Amino acid sequence: KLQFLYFIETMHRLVWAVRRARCRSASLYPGISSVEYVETPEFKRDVGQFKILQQMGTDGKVAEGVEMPFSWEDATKMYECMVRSSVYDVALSEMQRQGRITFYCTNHGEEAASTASGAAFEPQDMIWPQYRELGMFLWRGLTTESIVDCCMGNEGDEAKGRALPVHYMLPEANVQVVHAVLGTHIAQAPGAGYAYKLNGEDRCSVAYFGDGAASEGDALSALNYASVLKCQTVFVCRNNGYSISTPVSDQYAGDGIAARGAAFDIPTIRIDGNDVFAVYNGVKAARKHCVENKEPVLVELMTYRVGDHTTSDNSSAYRPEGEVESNIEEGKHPIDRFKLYLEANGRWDAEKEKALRKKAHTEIMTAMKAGENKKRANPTHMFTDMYDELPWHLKEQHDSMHAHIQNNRDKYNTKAYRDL
Amino acid sequence: MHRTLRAAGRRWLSSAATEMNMCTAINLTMKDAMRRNDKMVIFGEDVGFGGVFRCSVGLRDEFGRDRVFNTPVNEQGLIAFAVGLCVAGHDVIAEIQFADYIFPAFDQIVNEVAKYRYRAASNWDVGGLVIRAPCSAVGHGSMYHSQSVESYFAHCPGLKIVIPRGPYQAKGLLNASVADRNPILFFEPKTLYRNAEGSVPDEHYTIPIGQADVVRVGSDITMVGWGTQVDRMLGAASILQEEHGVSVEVIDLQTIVPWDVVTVTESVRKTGRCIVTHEAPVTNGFGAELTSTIQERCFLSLEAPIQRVCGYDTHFPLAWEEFYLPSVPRLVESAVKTMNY
Repeated sequence: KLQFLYFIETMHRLVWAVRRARCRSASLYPGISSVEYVETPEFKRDVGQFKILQQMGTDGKVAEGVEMPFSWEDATKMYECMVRSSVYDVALSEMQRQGRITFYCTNHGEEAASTASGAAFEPQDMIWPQYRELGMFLWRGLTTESIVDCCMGNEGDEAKGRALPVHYMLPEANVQVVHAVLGTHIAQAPGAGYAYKLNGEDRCSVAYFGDGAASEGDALSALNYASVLKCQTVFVCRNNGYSISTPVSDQYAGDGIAARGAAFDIPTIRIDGNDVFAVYNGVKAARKHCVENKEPVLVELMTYRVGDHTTSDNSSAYRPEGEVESNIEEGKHPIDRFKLYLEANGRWDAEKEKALRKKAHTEIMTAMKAGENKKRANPTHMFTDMYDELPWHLKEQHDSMHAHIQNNRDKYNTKAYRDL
Repeated sequence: MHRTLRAAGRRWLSSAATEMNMCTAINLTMKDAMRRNDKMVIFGEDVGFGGVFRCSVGLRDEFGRDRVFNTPVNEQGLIAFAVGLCVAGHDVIAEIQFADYIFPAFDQIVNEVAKYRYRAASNWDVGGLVIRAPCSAVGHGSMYHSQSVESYFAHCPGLKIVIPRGPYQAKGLLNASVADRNPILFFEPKTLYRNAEGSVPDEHYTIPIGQADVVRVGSDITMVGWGTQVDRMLGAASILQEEHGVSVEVIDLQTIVPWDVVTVTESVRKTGRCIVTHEAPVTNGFGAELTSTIQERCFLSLEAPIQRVCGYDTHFPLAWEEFYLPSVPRLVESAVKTMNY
């Protein structure tokens, strides 16, 4: 009888062990979202389709039920930033060809992506730019004088001429320095986003980047850190189809950059980046979600790089003929598209357009003339800002440099530098 | 070969002090730094539970998960995250688990951390950042747990690099690093966490960054090194004095960049002879920089060429660690050769 009871006991334990194992299987696999089993191998390759947010068609007409999310004053201001961006781009590219600046990077075709997203953030949001966001910079107050002084590297430049053209910054307007190394900033923004969360601020950090920069390890690191540490960070990817000559088909195999957000449980949205309404509304919603829920959001703006990568590039060498035209004709260009809307609502006309373009052109030419008369900063500034205080070896090198210059004045262009 | 090291420290006559090892000194220093500045955060891989070397034990319990936390296994993201936090006004102690694994973060350190202030014209900076990493030989570490990496970074303008030799130095230098408004790489020879013991004042104090320490005064030959090498130099100095009648002046550089050129060159002008020694491979190790500058400034005082006693230009081997290291016998041999030049 004892043996029989023992047998029952053992079977009882076995059944319960199996049941417990089944229940415990969820805790056996921490870090995944579902514990459903299948009996035949199944391979999954997509995370579901992203719908593209679009509220204004290429005919300038806004979808039924969509209200203008900003005032006419802001609408006009946005449009002016977009046009100024375009006019400055043309003028500065020409100046590069004339040798008056060494290098320039245009923003053609991405004026809405840049300006409308910039306008959707709050002034206190800290932005880390890439280098193709002039519209955002203009919205935040970058002056023509700053643009030109930076491109010329003269003493008027905030960075004293240390960096290449287009490496702007706006310390008072919370825009970090444009820098050349690709993608390194994407993983920095979450650090600030974490700080804003810790301190309970109504504030987010922002990282703008392109489809190419999104391939950098730092971009993946950024998504991972921002999601697991829950950072108030909005990632804005301008997917413009090219990274220099590399089309997106050579850049990645997945569903754009948006697909990567889901892998990290990051709320993600894909937006028609040439639609001012969609960009503004989508980014505004992203920011709201980010700050209210204290977690990152990924925004992919679909757009097209109309210009060359920079003045060192000639994209006709690698772009199919007619591709650029087909992307900007018939209202596809973000400026034309928004203009159609403004004109249809009686807020813009050909005269205003002419006046604005003339004004923008004059602005940049005036800044250029003034800039060309400015000196370069004294080379003492090669050594300042390296540390908070000058260490001995830099002091020695600085003094040695100046002594050398003084003994060889005729061999250098000393007149070009302040007080040299 | 390990033996308990008693780091030579100075005693504050008036205050209390406690015997402890270097790991504890670092732990207590970080605790104190966190108490003094509620905007400081500490993070790294496995930092939460106390860290693989136990340097961050107890910090999460006292300061909470918001301020002391684990990061994903991703060094480039770790340092980038630290940059963002510093820009947003916080101070950061970021831990890289082993100096051998700092290289994924090399881009962030060289192209971002080191350049942040310069390219932003001091509108922003990463001065609130201290990057800590265990470095150097531990007896059984092999290629990826033994590297000394200071020279990779010494070549990069805009950084400071500090290496303590024991608990007293660790506390003073780490306090100074936290206070310093420039980004600092703080490399901690991991074998010293447990093997370096000494008396550490209870009160807060700093040791100036950029200041070397003459650990043993001598007259015949100067030896310059840092970290674990200091104890080896002292060991060699004893033997040289007892068996060869050679008086060795031993200098712990303490800060690699910016290094204390005055103390070192004053010493070499006095002795006329110099050995520079470090575990890192000899070619392009920081010893090369020291040798070059010392000979430039002390040329007429030199009685013999400056010697470098360093790791060989191989990877750090497991089986032959005792031969690889710039050991006491190698230092003695080099000093004797120099004296007989």
